[in-house]
Amino acid sequence: MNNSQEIKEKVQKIFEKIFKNKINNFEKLEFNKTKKWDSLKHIQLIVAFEKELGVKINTSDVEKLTSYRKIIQYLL
Amino acid sequence: MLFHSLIYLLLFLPSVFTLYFLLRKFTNNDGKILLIFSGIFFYGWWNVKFIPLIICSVLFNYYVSKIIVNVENKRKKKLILFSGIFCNIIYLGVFKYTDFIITNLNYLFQSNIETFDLPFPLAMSFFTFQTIAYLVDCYDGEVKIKSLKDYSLFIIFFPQLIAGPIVKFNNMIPQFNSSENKSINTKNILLGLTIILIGLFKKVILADNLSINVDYGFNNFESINFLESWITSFSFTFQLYFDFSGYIDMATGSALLFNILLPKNFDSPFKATSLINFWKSWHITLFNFLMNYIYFPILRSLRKINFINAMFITLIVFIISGIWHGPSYGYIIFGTLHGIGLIVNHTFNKIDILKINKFLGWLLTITYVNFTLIFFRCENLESAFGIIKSMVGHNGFELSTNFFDDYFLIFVYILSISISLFFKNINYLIDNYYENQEIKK
Repeated sequence: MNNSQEIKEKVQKIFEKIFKNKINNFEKLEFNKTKKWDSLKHIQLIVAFEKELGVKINTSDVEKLTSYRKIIQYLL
Repeated sequence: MLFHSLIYLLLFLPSVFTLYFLLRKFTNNDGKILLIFSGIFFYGWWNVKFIPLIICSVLFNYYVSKIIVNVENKRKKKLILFSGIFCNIIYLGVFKYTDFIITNLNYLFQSNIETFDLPFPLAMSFFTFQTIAYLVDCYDGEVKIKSLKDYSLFIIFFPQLIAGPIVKFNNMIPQFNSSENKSINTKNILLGLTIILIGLFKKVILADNLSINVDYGFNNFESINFLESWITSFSFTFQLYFDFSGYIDMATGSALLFNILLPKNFDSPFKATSLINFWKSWHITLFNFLMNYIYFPILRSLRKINFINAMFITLIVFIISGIWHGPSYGYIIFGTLHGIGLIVNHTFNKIDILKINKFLGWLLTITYVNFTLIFFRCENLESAFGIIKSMVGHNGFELSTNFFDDYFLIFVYILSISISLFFKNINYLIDNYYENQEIKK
């Protein structure tokens, strides 16, 4: 398993853990459009990425990570 | 200088526009210095004494940002960032809140400390937030500051200087540097002028006429009846929207003449079917600032990031927003009520038991927003409570009024309601135009 696949899987697990349900289509997930993805969940996701993937996400980047795609792009 | 004044529309704007593009066409000059001096002139038109204040702020923050960018040590960097933010808040606080604090202290301790009667420099609230965001972006390595010229232009560019939208460095300066934006773009001019006209119409025809009943109602809050109190409050809700969004339209249109696209600040807020949605379409750049630079960082810094903490911080953020609007209890109550409203909205969403249909959601939202704006408009709390008392029938339920004796005013009300609730807004014009541009490319 390559690194990018590993990151994707970890991100997907984090999403399912924070949203507390199984997600079928990750590509569709968008901040403020996906029902469960509100500002609280957004910060919970950011903190979980930092903790579980060992990355540091800047204040200025938090507002940019507004979809699953953008998050994957950012983390890769 | 006001956007709807003749001096701005017929003299200032055309002169700066002509000089800017002449400079860019016939010389190697990028026109930035011209725009900076035009901004200073525009700003000083109200009161020349304010000019040193904005220049001091620009110089101070430019050097702070330089230090932030150049210092390697993380702890030092953070210390400078926080000191910079602190100085900006104090700078704003001294001018905006000193007299308010003294008046309150006098009231509390029955003392007689004299107020300073400090004049409040225009635009300061806006450029303070803009500067704070900029310093944080410098700290994060987001902004690679190059010159004092760029930084000054970012703060002093006249269309957004006085009342927003609150812009970000990385969204603005690249637009000035782009070679595509170097020469006159007739389509941008047409679009810009159309948007200026729309803004002018909103301000002069709608907002200014709506203000007639608003002023009368608030000045006579003790004697107006049930119907008149409702008309007064709703008139102000629409007046504020057309005044502010009209102003933003004129700012957006003016900037477009220079091929600069400002961010959206309003998106038909009175169509919102919940308070959460209302804040996604009302003063958008302020809300984004509050979210990204206050709400998110505080929430992130907590050990427990749960619903209750998030709601508590929402309340704090909206109280801050109320205080930011101005030194009065009316603004603080306005902010607090919005914080509470959002907590209720989020709580209902979370427990997910009560589903209300869209129409009821819309009605609740606009009525609640209207109620909070009474505090936004009032000169003292007595008048706000006076209006509210009449609205709940304290003075009876009389339904007669001579508020509409003038037929033109009826026309203004019909237009105001229709435009807010059924029309598309300028974002539609802009998005459509740029979509077409993309397709052509």
